[in-house]
Amino acid sequence: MTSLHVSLKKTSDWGNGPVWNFQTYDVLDGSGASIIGGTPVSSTYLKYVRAIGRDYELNNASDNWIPIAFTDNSLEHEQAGILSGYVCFDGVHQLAMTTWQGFASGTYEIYVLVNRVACLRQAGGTLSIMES
Amino acid sequence: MTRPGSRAHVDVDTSPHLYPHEQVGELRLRASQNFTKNSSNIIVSYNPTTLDASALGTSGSYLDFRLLSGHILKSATLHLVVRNPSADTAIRWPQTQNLHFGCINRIEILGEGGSLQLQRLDGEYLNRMMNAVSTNALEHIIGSGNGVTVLASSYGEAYLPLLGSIFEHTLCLPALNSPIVIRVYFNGTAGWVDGVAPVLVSAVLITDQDRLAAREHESLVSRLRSGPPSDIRFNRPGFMRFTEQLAGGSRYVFPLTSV
Repeated sequence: MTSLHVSLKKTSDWGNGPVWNFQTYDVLDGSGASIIGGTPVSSTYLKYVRAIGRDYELNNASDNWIPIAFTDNSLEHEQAGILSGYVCFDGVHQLAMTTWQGFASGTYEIYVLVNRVACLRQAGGTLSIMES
Repeated sequence: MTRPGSRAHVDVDTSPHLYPHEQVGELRLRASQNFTKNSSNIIVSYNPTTLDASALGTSGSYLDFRLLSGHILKSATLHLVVRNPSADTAIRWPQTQNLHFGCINRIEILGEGGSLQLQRLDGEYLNRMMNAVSTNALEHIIGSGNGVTVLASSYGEAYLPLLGSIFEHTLCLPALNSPIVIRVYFNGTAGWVDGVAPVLVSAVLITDQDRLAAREHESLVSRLRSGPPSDIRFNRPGFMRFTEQLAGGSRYVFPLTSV
């Protein structure tokens, strides 16, 4: 994996893009230890501060997709296949999040995008996929 | 380490020695060597194999685009033209709710004539990729004139760029044995803000392609078809979707099961 993107919306808000987010995010390994820094990370830091450091622009339309990147240029990876780092997920990892104080109780849909490394091989005129 | 002038020394900038597979036609390339292409950019549009006028209002319906002839793919954009059959009520595109791909459930990019899934681009993934579009450009994509609202008895259109797709990895269509199939699945009426879908008038997949000069094109195709395997690393997104009861000020832990 090079990054995760987490969105949150009320199930009754299907016709909208994500308009909610969690207060903090963390990714844990099988033992419950954080693999992104040892402490839950705020959505503001993930959304904006890291984006500034990586010199890419976020527009308001997709404001509530929260990126959790495991490599410096995960956005470039998505767009051009560039890869400088990744994390191997083996089925024991967990996503830990906290809701804001005052967050309205209800039924929400959580959607997690998982950006994965894959390789397309062209041998002769035939295509095949190799995936980690 | 060898010194210049010794027999073992090879100056990669001036050596005429290349591996056999790098001497195809007029192209003399080393794996690490840059070259300037003699090419021009060309826009090629593809029509779907069939067009169902009610596709936008039918959950699970899909369109197929089959790409075989062409050049080197660089990007793709879906262009939809729709008609509002109502004489008195406007229809709003999901773009008004920041859900650019709301009417699309997913787009599957299939190789080997449709038998090999190269990428599955969920509507959510495509929607999120719009995050990388500058605010200024985004305003023009979703702004008036591009179909935010389809007035009663009128037509509307939308351009939906397939950002983050494998098309951005210079697939050379003539070097493939079988077509690339782009299958666009729709969400039905649930994908529209007011639960009313317009009539689909036309759907076109617009692609940007690199058209090499004839001799270089022939050499490249020959090299890809008969040379060693060529690998393209790309992003193959996966996803999890689940529903939970949430309350304020609480911590939740979810297993990442489908990765």
